[in-house]
Amino acid sequence: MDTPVKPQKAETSPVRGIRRLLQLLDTYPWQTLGGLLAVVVTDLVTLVVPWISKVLVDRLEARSIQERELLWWGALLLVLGIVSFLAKKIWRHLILGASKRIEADLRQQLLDKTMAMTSAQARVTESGKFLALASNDIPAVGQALAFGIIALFDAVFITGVATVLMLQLSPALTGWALLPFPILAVVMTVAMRLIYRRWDTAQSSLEALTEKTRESLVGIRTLRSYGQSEGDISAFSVKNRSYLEDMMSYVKVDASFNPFILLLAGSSTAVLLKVGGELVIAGKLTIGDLAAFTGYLGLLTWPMIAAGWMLVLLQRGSASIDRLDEILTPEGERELQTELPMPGPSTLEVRNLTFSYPGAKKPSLTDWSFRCAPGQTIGIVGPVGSGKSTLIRLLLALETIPKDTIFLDDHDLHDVDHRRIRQYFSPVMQEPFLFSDTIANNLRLGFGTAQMSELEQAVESADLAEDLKLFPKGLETELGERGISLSGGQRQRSALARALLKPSPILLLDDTLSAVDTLTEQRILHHLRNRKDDSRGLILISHRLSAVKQADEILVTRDGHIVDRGTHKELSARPGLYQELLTHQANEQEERELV
Amino acid sequence: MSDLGLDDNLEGAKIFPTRTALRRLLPMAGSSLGYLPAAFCLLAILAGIQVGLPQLVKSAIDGPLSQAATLGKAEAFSQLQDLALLFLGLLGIGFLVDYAAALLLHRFGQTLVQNLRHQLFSKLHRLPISYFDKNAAGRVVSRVVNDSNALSEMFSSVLAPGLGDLLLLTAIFITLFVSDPKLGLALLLFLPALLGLVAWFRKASTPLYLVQRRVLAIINGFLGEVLEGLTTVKSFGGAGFLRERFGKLNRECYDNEIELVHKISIFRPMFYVAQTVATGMLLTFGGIGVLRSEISLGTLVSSLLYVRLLFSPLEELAERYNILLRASVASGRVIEVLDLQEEPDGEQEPAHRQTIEFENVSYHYSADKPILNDVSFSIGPGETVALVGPTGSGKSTIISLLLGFYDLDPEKGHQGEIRYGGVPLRDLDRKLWRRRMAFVSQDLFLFKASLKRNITLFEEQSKDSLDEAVEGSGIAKFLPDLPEGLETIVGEKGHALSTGQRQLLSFARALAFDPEFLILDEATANIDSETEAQLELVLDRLLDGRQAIIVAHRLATVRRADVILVLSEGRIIERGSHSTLLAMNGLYAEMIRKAESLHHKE
Repeated sequence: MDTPVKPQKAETSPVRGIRRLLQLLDTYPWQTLGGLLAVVVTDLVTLVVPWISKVLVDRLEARSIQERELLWWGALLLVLGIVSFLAKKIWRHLILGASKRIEADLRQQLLDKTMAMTSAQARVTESGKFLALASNDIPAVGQALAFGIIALFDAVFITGVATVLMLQLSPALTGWALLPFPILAVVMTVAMRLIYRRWDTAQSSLEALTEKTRESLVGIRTLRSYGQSEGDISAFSVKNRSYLEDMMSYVKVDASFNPFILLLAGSSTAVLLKVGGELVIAGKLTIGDLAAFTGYLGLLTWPMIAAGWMLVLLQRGSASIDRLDEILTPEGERELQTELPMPGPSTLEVRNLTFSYPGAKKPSLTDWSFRCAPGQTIGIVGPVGSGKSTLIRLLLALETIPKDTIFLDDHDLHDVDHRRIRQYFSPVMQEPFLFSDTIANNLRLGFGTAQMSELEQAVESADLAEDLKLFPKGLETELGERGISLSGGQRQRSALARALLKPSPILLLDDTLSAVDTLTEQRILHHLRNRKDDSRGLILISHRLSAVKQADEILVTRDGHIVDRGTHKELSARPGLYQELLTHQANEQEERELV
Repeated sequence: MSDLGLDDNLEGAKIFPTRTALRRLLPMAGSSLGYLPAAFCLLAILAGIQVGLPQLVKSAIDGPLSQAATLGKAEAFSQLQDLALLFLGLLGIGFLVDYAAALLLHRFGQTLVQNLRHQLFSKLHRLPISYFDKNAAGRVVSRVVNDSNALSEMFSSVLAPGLGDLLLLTAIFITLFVSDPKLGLALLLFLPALLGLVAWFRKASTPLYLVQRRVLAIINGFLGEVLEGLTTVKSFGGAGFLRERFGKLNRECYDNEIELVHKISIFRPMFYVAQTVATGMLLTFGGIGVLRSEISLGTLVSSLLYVRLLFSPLEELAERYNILLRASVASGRVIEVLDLQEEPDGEQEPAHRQTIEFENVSYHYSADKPILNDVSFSIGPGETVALVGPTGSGKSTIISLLLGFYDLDPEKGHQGEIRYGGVPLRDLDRKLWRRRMAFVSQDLFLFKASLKRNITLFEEQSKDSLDEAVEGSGIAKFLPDLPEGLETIVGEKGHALSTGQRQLLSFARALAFDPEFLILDEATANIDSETEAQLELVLDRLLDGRQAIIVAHRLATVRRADVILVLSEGRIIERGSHSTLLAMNGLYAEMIRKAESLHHKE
C-alpha cells in the first residue's frame, strides 16, 4: 500500500459512539421528546391491534358476537389507523427534522474547524479522507440519529409492552416464546463489534480508492504525455479489488442479520405452536390467545429487525462520528487576548529571529533582524533554501512565532491572537490558491464588504483589467470547477488584486510575479510604488533582482542567514553574494527572461 | 436552482434505470451474472416458505386445536409436534436460502460495480484531454467512485430483493385466492391505492432528491477547497466571509431536506394506515364469514398473518425509492462517461528518426479566438527547436498538438497538417507515438507513490534503465537524504521535495523512457545555481542526439537551439539562429535589448 501508516486509533467503543450520538440529539431536546412521545402513541396503537384480534377471534370461536358489532370493531380499527398515521407523521417531522438540522450543524462545524486548523493539522489531513467526512460520514450520522435512535427506542418499548401483554395471556408460554431472545442478544453483541470494524475497514479502502482516482485524474496529462496507462490502471485495480473484498467481508456479517432474526422469531412461533397448542388442547388457553401471541411475536420480529438495522446504522453512525471527531475535537489555533490596536499604518520589526521547524535538525532562519516602516519596501533575495518563505509563514502566524522576535509597533506578536496578526498582512503566495467561485468573490476574501469601485481599483493595480475584459462576465466570471481556468500569470495577478484589496498595512509578495513576464512585472511594481496615499509597507521576495532594485533595503540571504544588506547601489558596489547574483544574471544572462 | 449549474440536469429522470442502461450494465457482472438467476430461484423458494408457514398455523388451528376432542389428545399432540417440527425445518431452510441469496446478490452487485469502475477508469485513460479541461477532477471522481457505488446499492439491495418481494406478493395473493376468493379480492383492492400513493410520492420527491444531490455536491466541493486553500483563507482572515457564503448553501440544503421530510412523513405512514384498515376489514368481513360458517377460523387467523406479510414488501420497496432514484441518475451519468467519444487513434506504427513537420497549421479552441495561424516549421532528426514569445503566443498549443492532446480537425475549421516522417499524426498509433517522446513540463506532477514509481509512471522498467535515469539525472546524489531512497513515498502528504529536486526528477523520468524526441517546457521558477549547473548537465545528456522542441525562457537554452522560432499572436514572425535573429533587428532583438536594458537601468 502506498498509504503511510495510520496512527493507531485508540480502541473506540461502539457504546461511546452511541452516547456521543445521543449528545447530538440533545441539542434539540423538545423536538426529540415530542418525537419520542409520538412514537409511544404509534407503538400503543400497534400493540392494541393484536389484542383486538384476540378478543374477536375468541368471540368468533365461541360465536358470541353479532355481525353489527363486528362492523363497529372495524370502524374502531379505522380510527386507530388514522391516529397512528398522525402520530407517525409527527415523529417523522420532529425527529427527521432534528437530524437534518444536526447534519447541517455538523457541516457548519466541519467548516469552522477546518478554518481553525493549525498548519500542522492541515498538513496531515488528506483531502480524500476529509471529503469522505462530508459526503459519507455526516449523512451516516444523520441516518443513525433519525432511524437508529428511534428504532432503538421502538425496540425497547415494543418489546417491553408486548412482553407484559403476553405475560397477561400466559406466563408459561411467554417464557417459552422468549427463549430465543437471549441467543439473539449474544449474537448481536458479537456482530455489533464485527460490523463496526469491517465497515470502518471498507470505508478506509473506499477512501484509498477515491484518492487514487483523483490523483490519476489530476496527473492524467503527465501519464498521457508518456503514453502510459496500463501501470496506472493496474495500480487502480489493486485498490478496486481490495475495496470489493473489504466490502464483501462487511456484507457477510451485515447480510446475515435479517435472515437470522427471521429464523429466531420464526422458531419462537414454532415453539408457540407446540407448547401453546398443547395448552389450547388442555383448555388452558384459547385460540384467540394463541392468535394474539403470534401477533405479538410478529410485533417482536419488527423490533428485532429494527434492532439489527438500528445496530448497523448506529455502528456506521458512531464509526462516522468518531472519524468526524478526529477533526472536530482537536484544539485548533489558540485564541489570545490581545492589546494590539486595529490595523493602521504600522512598523514591522524583526529582532534576532531564529526559527526551526519542529523536528528539523538546523534552523531555517538564523538571527534575522530588519525593520519595515510605513511606506517602505524591503527586498529579500537569495537562493532556494535561504529561509525567505519561512519568514512569510512566520509573519502570517502559520508557524509558532518565538517570543521577543517579531514586533508590530512594539507589540510582541508571540502573544497576539493569530487572527489579529493576519489582519496586518496581506500576502501573495508563490502558488496562489483561488476558489471555484466568481472572481469578485475571490477578491473579496479578505474584505467581504468591498465596494465595486474598490474592486476595480485593485484589479487595475494588479494589471488584471485587460484580462477581465476577455472573460464572459468580467468580475462575475466563475473560476475553477464551475467556470473557466486561468493561466499561471492570471492566477498570480488575481491573487495580487485580492491582496491589494485587503486593507492591511503590510503587503507580502513571495516571489509573486514569477509567472508574468518582466515587463508586466515592472508595470505592476510601478503601480505598487505609485499608489497614492499608500502608507503600506512592502516585503518583496524575488529571485529576479530587477524586482527589488528600488527597495529601501535589500536583504541578501543564504542558508537561513542574512549575509548582506543595503540598497541596490551599495550592494552592487561591493563584492559579495549580491554582486555574484548580479553578474550571474547580467553577464551569463542566465536568469533573464526572454519575455 | 438555476444558479447551481452542476451537471445533474436530469429533471425528467426516470425512476428505474432504463432498460438500455440495464442491458449495458448487467453484462459487466461477467461470471457473476449467473448469481442473479440463482438468487432469483432462491428467493422464489423463500417466498414459498414464507407463504407456507402461516398455512401450518392454519392447519394447526383447524386440525388438532379445534378437533382435539375427535382426534384424541395423544393424536392431537403428535400432529401438533409434527407441524411444529415441519415449521422449524422450513424456517431453517428459509434461513439458509435467505442468507445465500443475499450473499449472491451482494457478490453480484459488487463484482458488477468493480468491473464497471475498472471500465470507467480505463475509459478515462482513453478520453481526449479536452474532457479533462472541461471537467474538474472532483466531479469525475464522483462518477467513478460514488455513482458506481449507488449502482451497486441498487443491484444488491433494491432490484433483486424487489424481485423477491414481487414473488412473495404473488404467492400471497395466490394463497389468499385459493383459500377464500372474496378475501383475496378485498385485499387486492388495496393495491391500486397503494400504487397510486407510490406514484404521487415519486412525482413529488424527484425534484427534491435532485436538488439534494446538487446542493450536497456544491457543499462538499466548498469544504474541500477550504481545506486545500487553508493557508490562503487564514492569511486573508476570510473565515467570516466564507462562513457566511457556506451558511447560505447549508441553509438551502436544509430547507430542501425539510421539504423532503414533509413528503416522506406523509408517504410512509400511509402504508401503516392501509395495513390497519386491511386488518379491520379482514376481521369484520372475515368474522362475518366465520359466523356464517363460510370460512374457517384457521383461514381467518392465517389471513391476518398474510396481511402483515403483504404490506411489508410494498413498504420496503417504497423506502428504497431514494436508492433507486440515485441509481438511475447514477447509471445515466456512468453510461454517459462510457459513451463519450474516445481520443482518435491511428494504426500506423511511427517510424524511427524521422522529421516532424508542421505544415500551414491554423488552430483554435473556439472559433473567435485563433491560437495558431499558418504555422510551418520542421524538426529534423537530432535537431533542437526553441520557441520564444510572450504568454498566449501559441507555444504551449504547439506542444499540445505534438503530444496529440488536441487534434487538427478540418470540420472545426482547423487547417494544415502535422506529419512525422510524412505520415499525418492522426494516422499514427497514438500510444506508440507518445512513447517516442518525453515531455518535461514546467510543473511536475507527483503521484502519491514511491519515487521509483514516479519515475517509471507505474510501468515495469528494467533495472538498468532505471539506474541509468537515476544516475544520469543526478537524483542519485540526494537519494541518501531520503528516508527510504527510491522507495520513499512522495506526492501529496508524502516526503516533500525541493523545487530543484523536482526538476531533476522530471528529467529522470524523461531519461528513464529514453525518448527519441524531447519536449521541454522550461521552468521559470527559481533554482539555486548549484542545481542549475546540475540541470544544465542533464539537459546536455537529454538533448544529445535527440530531436527536441523547447519552450525557452533562458538565453542559455535558446542558444543551444539550431533554430529559434519567435511567436507572436499565433504566428511565427521570425526564425533563425540566435545571431541571425539579432542581426535581423526585429522583435527578437528588441526583446533581448529590453531585457538587457531593464537589467542595467538604474
